Amino acid sequence: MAQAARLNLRMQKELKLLLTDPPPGASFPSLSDPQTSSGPSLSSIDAQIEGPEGTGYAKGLFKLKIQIPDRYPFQPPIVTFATPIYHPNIDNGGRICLDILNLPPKGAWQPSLNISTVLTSIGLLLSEPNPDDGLMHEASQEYKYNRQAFDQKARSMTEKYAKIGATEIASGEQGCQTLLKPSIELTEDKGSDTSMREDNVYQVSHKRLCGISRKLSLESSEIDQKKNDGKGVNQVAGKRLCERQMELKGLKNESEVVHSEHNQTHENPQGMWKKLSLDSSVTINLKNDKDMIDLASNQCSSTSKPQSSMDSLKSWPVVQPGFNSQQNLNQDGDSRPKFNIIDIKLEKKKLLESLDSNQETADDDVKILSVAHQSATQFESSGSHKSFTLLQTISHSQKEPQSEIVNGDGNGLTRVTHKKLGLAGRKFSLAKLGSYQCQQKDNTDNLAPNSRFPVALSSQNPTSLSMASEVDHCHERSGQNNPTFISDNLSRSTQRQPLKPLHQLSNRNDIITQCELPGLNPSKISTMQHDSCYDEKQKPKQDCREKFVIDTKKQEGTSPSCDTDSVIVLDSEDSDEEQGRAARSKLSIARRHLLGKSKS
Amino acid sequence: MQNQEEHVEESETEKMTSTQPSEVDDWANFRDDDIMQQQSAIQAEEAEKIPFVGDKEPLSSLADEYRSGSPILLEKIKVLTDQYAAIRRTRGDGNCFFRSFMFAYLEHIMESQDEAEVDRIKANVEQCRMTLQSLGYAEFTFEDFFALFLEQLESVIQGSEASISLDELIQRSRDQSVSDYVVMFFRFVTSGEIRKRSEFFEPFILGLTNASVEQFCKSAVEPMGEESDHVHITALSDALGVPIRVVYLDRSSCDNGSVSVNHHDFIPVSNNLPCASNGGTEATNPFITLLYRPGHYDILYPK
Repeated sequence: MAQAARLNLRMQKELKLLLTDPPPGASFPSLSDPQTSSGPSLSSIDAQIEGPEGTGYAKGLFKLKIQIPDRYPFQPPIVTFATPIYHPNIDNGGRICLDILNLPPKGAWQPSLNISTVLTSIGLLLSEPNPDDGLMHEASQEYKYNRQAFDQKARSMTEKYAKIGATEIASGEQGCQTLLKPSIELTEDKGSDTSMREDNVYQVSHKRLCGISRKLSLESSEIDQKKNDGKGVNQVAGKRLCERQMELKGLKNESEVVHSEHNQTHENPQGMWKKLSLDSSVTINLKNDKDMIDLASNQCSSTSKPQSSMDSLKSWPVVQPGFNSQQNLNQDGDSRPKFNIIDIKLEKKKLLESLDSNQETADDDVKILSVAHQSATQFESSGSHKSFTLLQTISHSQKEPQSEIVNGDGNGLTRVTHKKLGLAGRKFSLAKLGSYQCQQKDNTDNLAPNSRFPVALSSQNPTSLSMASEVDHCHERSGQNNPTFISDNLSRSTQRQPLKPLHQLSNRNDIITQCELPGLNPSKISTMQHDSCYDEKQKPKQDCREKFVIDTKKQEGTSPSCDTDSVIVLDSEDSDEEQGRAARSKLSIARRHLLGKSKS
Repeated sequence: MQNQEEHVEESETEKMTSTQPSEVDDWANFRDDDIMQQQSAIQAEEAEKIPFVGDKEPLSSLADEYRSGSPILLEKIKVLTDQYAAIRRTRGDGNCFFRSFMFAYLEHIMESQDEAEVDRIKANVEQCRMTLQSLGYAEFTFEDFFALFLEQLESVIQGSEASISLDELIQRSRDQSVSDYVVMFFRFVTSGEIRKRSEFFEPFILGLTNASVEQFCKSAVEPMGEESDHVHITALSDALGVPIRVVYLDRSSCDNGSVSVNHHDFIPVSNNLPCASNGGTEATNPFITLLYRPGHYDILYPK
């Protein structure tokens, strides 16, 4: 008790000093309020720190939570960011990687330090990030190799969450909370209806984004479904399969249109497209086999990397409807500088087209449609009647990347890069889908961390919302468990980053091929034609398992258009090397998932 | 094919092992800091077997400890028993030197009731406070520690209502909230002294850790649990003007075959003493004797 009294005394002195002589840029609105300063909140302090001038955080006001442990000052204060921030050393949960916040031997806390010095250090960390000891490897890499992009993201995050605006100052804490509200709602899995409504609002002003947001709502409805119906696995799987088929179909229509104009270009996309559909349908197989663990791990290991890049590229615009869409594009422009405006135009077209394409699907291939209907009805019966339209939107959004590719080739200048970018873009959407399944798994798995940091996490990744945060967990952990896998990705320079998704795509293919089709040796995957062979052989197999009759003409129709592509060849070779590692990570994640299951 | 089998196997073994989720879970999620945490937990567990400050034991208990050990050590312990009567162990948590010094000093004051020494050390403590202030430490970061030490110092002087008995002193020394604060006080004093006379300590520090004075204070003096070396002892002895004798019990032996126990007296530099004139007599007779075995300090009681 004597210690508690001493701690109290010490804290009073500290607070007095913080108010009379605050560290540069820091303020304590809750302390200066006479009502609270006399209160018992000595163990927890709310602080605000201004972003240093000349950085991406300038003109931002960041909220910090400082918790004082019982054994302070022998133990360091626990400081976290309550305001989302894009920083190499600050993670989605607002946790700060700073040596003086940890005890030796790992950290450098000493009892002679105090809250004021800690805040000063954090201020310095904002102006001088330490990318060599990064907590967020995406941000670290970017800070090191693409400083402009980093600054821009940091700035837009600052503007969105930490802006010194009227609301922020007036409402203080509440301002932050209302800002985060939509994401909280999604985190709580309130269901498809909430998110649907929100999405519809956004849809009007952000056509480009509506694909993503609808996907989100699709996801939440899936979760609902899982909750409602314990045996919903097959239904979800069926639905997924039919999504895949419709995408394929949609793509075909799409590429036919494109074909007449850019004859040589669509081969590559289409090949990749097949890979995509292969991926997801194989995972369905796994699902049907009740091999949930494999499924989750597969998704986890293969999506972890792209997920994070997707977060950074595509994420934040959705939550904030008022946010300027042009600005969103600028952010995307970091990696795809040339197509933003054209994208939008194309996007509109695509939206229209894809609406049609769905009906074309019905005309072209009755059987596939019947599959779609079948699963759609199944889906409906389990509670969500909007699912069918959602299926369509998935295919819409996945078409975006293709339009980019076409356009890139139209430009004819930096063709290869554009292709890669486009593929990367497609990978994003795939990753998203993958991540959903991850999330389904993680829903139970990650309950603890999620409930601990729900606000901060989801607010950090507004677009991906709960999904993103879940996957982030997943991602983080996969990084921990299999550092080589991640670091391998890290070691590539930023120029090669657009390629990464490809690596992983082929990775995935290889793994899956090994698992599902032992007779086929993945070592020969060096051309697109090989890949397409797998497609053909594998699909019937899935279909059998699925007990769906799917027209093989579909695959025949697409395979001839697949040609050898140098980009793919490269990556496939690489992927052979990476395969082992990926498999390992898969296993290790499988372990965790199982554990998570048994725990819950 | 093979991969698939492995896969299945793996998941099956997982299913089997998942019956003990906590254990496997721990290993699956193990990271560097988890391991460090575990390590420190083990250390803490070990440390708690001995109180911060133990009971006075006859030196024979030390001999018992080394019964099957090195004959040189047994021989040395025999030599020690000629001069010393008892040992008081302290916990090996990295603060043992400071903790030993704290208890030995306070116990000495309690037994001697040497008010002149109390006044002298208070003056030195004030000096240290000024040193820290001039070095740029925020006053509130150290004043609590200073206040607590002075409080202990007052209480061992009998005759006031705050006075305490030896048992109470032992109790307090075993109370983390008191003990750690006093230890931290000494760490502040030591750090301040090293920084103040950095040009003097620099070569020693360089030889010890190859770090700058600043780094050394930050990493090896101020944090709790960092072990002390001769640099710390010298600095503390100088800063407080308290001579310290350290007796070394190790396996070094003399060439001529006769065994003797080395000791080193840390005598405060006289110019640091406000009352340098009468400090001389004290200095020749250090009233604090510590037993050093590699990595650890305990308190020794002369006959």
